[in-house]
Amino acid sequence: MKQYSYFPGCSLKASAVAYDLSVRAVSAALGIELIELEDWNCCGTTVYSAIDRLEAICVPCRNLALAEKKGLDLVTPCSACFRTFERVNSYLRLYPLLKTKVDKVLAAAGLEYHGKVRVRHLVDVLLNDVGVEAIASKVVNPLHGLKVAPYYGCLLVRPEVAFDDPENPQSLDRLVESLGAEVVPFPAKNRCCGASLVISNPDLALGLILRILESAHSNGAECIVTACPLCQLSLDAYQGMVNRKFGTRYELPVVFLSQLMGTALGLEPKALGFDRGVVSPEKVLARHL
Amino acid sequence: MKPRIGVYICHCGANIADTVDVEAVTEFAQGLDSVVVARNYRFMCSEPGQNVIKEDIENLQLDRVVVAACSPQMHESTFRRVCEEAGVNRYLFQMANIREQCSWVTHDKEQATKKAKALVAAAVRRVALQEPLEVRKAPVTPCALVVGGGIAGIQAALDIAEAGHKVYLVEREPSIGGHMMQLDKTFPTLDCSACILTPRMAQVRSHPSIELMTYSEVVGVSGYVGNFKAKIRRKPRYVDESKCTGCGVCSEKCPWTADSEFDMGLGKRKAIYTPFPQAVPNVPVIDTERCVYFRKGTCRACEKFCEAKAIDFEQTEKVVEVEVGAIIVATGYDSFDPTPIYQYGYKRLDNVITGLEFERLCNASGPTGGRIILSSGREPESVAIIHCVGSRDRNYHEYCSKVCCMYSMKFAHLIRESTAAKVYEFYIDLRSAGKGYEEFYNRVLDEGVIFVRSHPPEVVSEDGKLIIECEDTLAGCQSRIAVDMVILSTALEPRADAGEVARLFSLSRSADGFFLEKHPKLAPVATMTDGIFVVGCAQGPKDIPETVAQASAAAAAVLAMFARGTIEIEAATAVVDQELCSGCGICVALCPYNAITFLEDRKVAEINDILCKGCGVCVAACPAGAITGRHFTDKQILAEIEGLLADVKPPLVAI
Amino acid sequence: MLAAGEASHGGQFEREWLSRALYVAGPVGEQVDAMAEMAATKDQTTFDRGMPMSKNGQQVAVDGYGFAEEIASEPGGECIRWCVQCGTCSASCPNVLWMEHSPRKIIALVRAGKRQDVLSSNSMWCCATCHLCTARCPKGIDVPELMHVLEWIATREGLASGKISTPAMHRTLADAVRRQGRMHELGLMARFFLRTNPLAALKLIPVGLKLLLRRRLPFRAEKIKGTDQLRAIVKEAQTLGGGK
Repeated sequence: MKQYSYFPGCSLKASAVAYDLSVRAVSAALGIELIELEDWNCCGTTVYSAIDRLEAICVPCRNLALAEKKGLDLVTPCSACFRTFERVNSYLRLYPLLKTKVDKVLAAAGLEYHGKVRVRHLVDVLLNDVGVEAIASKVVNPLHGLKVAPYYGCLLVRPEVAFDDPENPQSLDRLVESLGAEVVPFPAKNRCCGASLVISNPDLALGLILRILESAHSNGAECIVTACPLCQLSLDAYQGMVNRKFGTRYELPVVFLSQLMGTALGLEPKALGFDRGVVSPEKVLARHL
Repeated sequence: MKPRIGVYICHCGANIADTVDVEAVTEFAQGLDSVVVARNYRFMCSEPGQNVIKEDIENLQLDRVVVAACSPQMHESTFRRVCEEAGVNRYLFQMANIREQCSWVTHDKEQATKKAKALVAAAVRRVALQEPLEVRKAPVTPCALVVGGGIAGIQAALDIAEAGHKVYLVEREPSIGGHMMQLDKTFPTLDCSACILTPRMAQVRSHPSIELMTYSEVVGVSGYVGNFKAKIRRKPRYVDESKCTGCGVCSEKCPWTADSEFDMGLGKRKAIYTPFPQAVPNVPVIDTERCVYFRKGTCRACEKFCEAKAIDFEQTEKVVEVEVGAIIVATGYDSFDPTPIYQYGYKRLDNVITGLEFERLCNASGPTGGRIILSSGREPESVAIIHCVGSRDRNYHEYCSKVCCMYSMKFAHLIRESTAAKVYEFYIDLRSAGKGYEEFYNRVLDEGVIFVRSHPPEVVSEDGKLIIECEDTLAGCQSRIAVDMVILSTALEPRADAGEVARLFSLSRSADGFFLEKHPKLAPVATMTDGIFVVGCAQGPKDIPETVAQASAAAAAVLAMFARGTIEIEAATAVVDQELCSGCGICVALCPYNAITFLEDRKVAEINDILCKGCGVCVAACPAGAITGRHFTDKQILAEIEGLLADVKPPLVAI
Repeated sequence: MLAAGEASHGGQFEREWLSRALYVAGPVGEQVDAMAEMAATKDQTTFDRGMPMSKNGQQVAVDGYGFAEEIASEPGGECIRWCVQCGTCSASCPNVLWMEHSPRKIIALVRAGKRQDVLSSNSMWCCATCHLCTARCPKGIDVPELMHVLEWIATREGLASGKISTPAMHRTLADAVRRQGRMHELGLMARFFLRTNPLAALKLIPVGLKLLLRRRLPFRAEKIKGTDQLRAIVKEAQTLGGGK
């Protein structure tokens, strides 16, 4: 069994608990062992650097320091956490003066980090470590006929990522296809959902969410699948607000990749957290569950 | 007899003198063994500097010279010449690099001066042991090989041929003409490209001194300046050039079509075809991938209808070898394929085309007969031209392709001339620096072309229109402009096989992938390999005037070499002492230049002076120590090392 | 007035000509003082290159090389030097129409030394860090990073835009992380709305309820064990000048 240090991120303990449940279930089924990083702390996401730039590196770096001791790749299902850790790693590499400061700060907490942790997004692990063929071979409940719009969001594929293209990403498409489902064309698949601004500037964010829902819907999608907890929250929980504000009537269930995968792999729906979605996926997935 | 050495320390202005204490080094040099005189001067390579050396050689009877200055790459040949003019053999000169390897790599004055002293000491000890060597001359084959038959190759070939020398002009495509042939009108004068190019092409064809080999490729090069041998693979056309009259009936009758490469895939050609009507030579080739005879053994329509009986399906590939004195590489550029820029919609959305594709649309002999139309067949009402596609972009090519601003404006003019369409030019900076270029820009402005200073990130399709979403940076507002056609002004990039060509001709490439010139300002067409030149867009993106100028520049250099008639052979080669040679043959296998032969009768190795480059591999490898590298003898090298370490105390050895 | 190249004589002079040259909205004295202090501590030769002139009440851009360099001296901020003002970023930005100044314009204003305009604008607070600009920028500039640097400076100097409540959101989140090591969504929202505008919370009550019902908004805040480590980190970071 391939082992990884697992960093769920704050959302997976709260609004995206379904993601955590389904990731654990699917990993077990695919032969991956996820060992949750002990006593991990919030990564601070993209907003911490507006408050303090040094803390914004050091606070997530605590997690990397803890993970380094385990010697495993650190895998996270959250795109924001993934980007934050990537930023820490690359800044420590590019700016030696910054690294000196960070070393000092970590030392004050009795920690040290040598830049050795390889941070992976869950999608990368599924695509490149497990592989679409391996996944397809384990599918017992192919999702034939299910029209899926795979939503990447921003931070998964931008500014750049080794396993996919920022403008025309394909990784989620391929993973969804390996489950037997049908991927619909989806021009807004990598457009921002505005998650970081949805509380403080809902009017702005709702406009962005509308665009994504509209794009999926007009291309015949029956559901949207995503690999980021913040995206799921935006598209799912705020769908009602979008409908009210813009007079639309979207009822698009937004599920996590791991939930869809779990279904195709024949896992128990209860274990996959389908009951947590605000827009219920029950009707759409009825013929597959 | 003790050597009499003169040592000259160059200030090189502030380059050396600001970091190295030249006075101290001079004083140090004066105190070295066998040094008769040590001086320092601001610019040793200047005329007064050179004269200082010459005068000292004469007045002080110097027989060896050391110059501590820049890299030998820069001025070793300069000072060697100075020595010889004053009567001292050039191999009794040694250069110490106290600039690139000393003053330019540190700010620490103490360390730099210390190192300079060590380098000078090394050079002095070495030069004391150097031997005069005879410089041999080899004849120059007064023929040239020009690789690539675009405007650059054509110009170079004509210039050399006009001087009465033979030129082999090798072109990969079935016809010469290159990319210039694909253009419609050329900026800034709006000359028709074919009209100015075809007379040159005809001249090439009929010139008695030019041997034109089209549909051919150079596959091997050996030798050295003045004496190259090139192997050229002549691909079979399956049409006998000597019989073909160029009547074109074969193409007419051929029932099989393919996308025309010349028309950028926008039009069709036949399986037996000439790429364009004015092809030189006007002899078709058969595309064996599309020709049904080659695929299935049937048809043969061309053969049936050819009155001159010129079709020859039995033709085979031929490899010919030519001997030339100089090679000019004029292989041109490739047009950047914008497919990877997903957000521009090239090949995804209708009516998004590249610059070269637009040239073909505009051109009267192109796929639409010169009508600027959309894929639906109607004329566009508005056209957007996006600059800098693939250029000035860290994601693709960082450099500026130089000609796109001008050709973009040319497109605007051509569109306004023949349609009623609105034209929008989306640019970041406008580069119109050549002769008549700014005036052309003024003209285009006067024609009502709309310039929007913006680099649009995306082209989307909406209700049958192409929408450019951009920020008008000068007005400071977001714009959405709907057009019918988008022209992407694509970059000029190195040819896809530039790496292989570089290897073939021993060329280096700069970071942008184009072939590297010897010096960007002072030797823009020469390369680090003597006798091989690179001209035109193969060296970097440029317009036609510059290309032609470079071609003539290289031709002039080649003609100078031919006029001299001989080249000097570097004498620092290796020599086998056949008495010591044990006949093991290790050196023969190791020589990268195949310069060593094993003499079977005497069972000893012999080195060809002319092929030997003096690399030293055989010298190091010979187990019997029978090979000496002239000018790099063991004694000389050890003396140099001793000079470097002269003031280093040996370490205490622990017992 | 100073002749070009002549050194200035300390903060008093800067204060005088800054107050003449700048269009300042809000409490003038404080902000001018802050900038004068910055000016006085900057390298005199670079700052004195510009000659501020006031003609008919119109102000001419102060030579702002200092401000751009301030950004460029931050790790991740050096890319501001590479901008050629092509506008790719602005046109890619999904939120550009909400911004007072587009991303490209912000960079231009920074370079022109319009510190006040930039730091008090809402532009960077509208950035969702989606990086569409970064992916397309021909010079490879990380625009959201520049936005974050500006946000940080604006926060530090108390200029964080009062027109938008995003700064308060960021602050709330940072406080929570510093204290508990985890982000507790319910607590976050509560604190945020209390800090800014409790009535705005009403709009989100339907969403909140739905999430609560589906057990996606736990009441209890989780706290990590290593809070003392985090405290030490935050303390040491702030001692070191907080990334300055």
